[in-house]
Amino acid sequence: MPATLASHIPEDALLIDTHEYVMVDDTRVRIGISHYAAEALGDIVYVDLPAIEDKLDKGDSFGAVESVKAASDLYMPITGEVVAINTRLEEEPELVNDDCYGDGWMIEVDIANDEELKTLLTPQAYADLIENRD
Amino acid sequence: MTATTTCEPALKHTPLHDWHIEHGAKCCPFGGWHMPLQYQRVHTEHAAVRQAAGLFDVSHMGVVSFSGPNTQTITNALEGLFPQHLGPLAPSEAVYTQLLNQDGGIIDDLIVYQRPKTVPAGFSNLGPWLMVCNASNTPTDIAWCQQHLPSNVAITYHTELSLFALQGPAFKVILEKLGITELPKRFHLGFTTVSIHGKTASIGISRTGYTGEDGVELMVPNEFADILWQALLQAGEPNGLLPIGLAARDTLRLEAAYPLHGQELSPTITPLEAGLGWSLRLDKPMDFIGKAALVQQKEAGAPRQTVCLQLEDKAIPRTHTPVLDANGNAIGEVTSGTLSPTLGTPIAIALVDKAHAPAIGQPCLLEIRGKHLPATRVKRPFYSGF
Repeated sequence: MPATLASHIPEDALLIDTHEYVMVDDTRVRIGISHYAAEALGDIVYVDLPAIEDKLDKGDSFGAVESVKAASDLYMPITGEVVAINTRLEEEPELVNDDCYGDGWMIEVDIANDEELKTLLTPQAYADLIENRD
Repeated sequence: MTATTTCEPALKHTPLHDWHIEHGAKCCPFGGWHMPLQYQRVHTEHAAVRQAAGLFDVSHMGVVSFSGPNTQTITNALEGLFPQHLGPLAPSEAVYTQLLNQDGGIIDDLIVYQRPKTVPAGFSNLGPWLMVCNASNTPTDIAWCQQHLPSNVAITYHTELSLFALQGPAFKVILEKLGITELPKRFHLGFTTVSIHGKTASIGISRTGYTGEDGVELMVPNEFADILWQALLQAGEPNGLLPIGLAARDTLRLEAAYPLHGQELSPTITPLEAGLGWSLRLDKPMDFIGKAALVQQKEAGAPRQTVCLQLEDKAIPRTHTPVLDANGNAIGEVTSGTLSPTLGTPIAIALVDKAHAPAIGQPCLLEIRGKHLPATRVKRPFYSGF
């Protein structure tokens, strides 16, 4: 595996072992999938997202991502309420391949419990986990 | 993860393997070979074939020929293996057919050619009959033929040949640029001579393909493969020609509703169940392996049927996705599915109980991630460029 896996990931991203990330900034909390996962899936052609106001627990499926070759369920890295979905993905699902941490985000949530963020993986811890798996 | 640049040593390489890697192909194991899956976005490659042209390295497929004391001896022997009637074929003619087991199940599906009467230098070891087999089945096919053909029919696996497919509306214009102006008719095989940068070689040209577009498949001596591949790409670039990987090959063949062995076809599925009854000659005068089973199945009615389904939702059916009738009763499963780049909707081929199969235009349900999504049976194929 490339030693640069962690360097693909923005410093402020937090991840779980099923490859979803959470990025928290001053105004919002966004969830998507890691670059590693997007690459592994191949060309993404459809992203199935939840409805706004859906309340989801950590570990719940919030949708699925379909590539040319495979489908993969998406899991909530934290508990929260969906406040926005990335509607651009309806027409441009390839944004997940091109810019998963930017324009390829999937949902925006209101976090129920900030403490849950502490249970997530740092970019380095996530990268180590992936590298040790391969 | 970056594009795979290493691979297991056990996987076989085509003569163009280095070219694929150098040009950024993401490769994968396929039928015992390390093959390009895609060079760029699958949908970009798919669109190039539909709108311009695509060049495929399909050298993983097996070219196998049969030789013997005389052509008639070989023809008679092969009649016992194939459900097509080979006798009426003229030299240069080809047919789509299958190798069947005693139960009528499909060991492999393939194209059988009667070679043109004369062959150019370099093809002198090509027997009067040949077949082009699926990569993963080639060893099985050869073993099956060895087991069932008389000892005076020799079988040759032509590993000295590479295979390309050039498919899509611009294919003729591109071949003309290399001086290839005489093309065989559909399902015919010819030979021609090509000169590139002072090097000359004879190549076989077959008017066949697996994309739903008109085009050719080329049999190329390995030492000429790299030269011809690059010359074709260079000649075709202004026409929009792209190299195409296996991923787009799959979406293209699915839109054309061509079966893939291992998905739509298997040793436990008969041609009647697979919708390939048109390729059978059950009334040919000689016996062939699987004939009795197929005749019986035709009389009794095949228990299963292959259907083409189209969805409105965007969720994509995959192999083994359950198919339910409109009331929610299980009737079969999807054998292949994809998001059709041309239609913009998910499509699937499914094998279902014939008694409960929806009629054309009628609905059924697909169970995807716990949801029952509506699908409609549509006419085969989903798309045709002819």
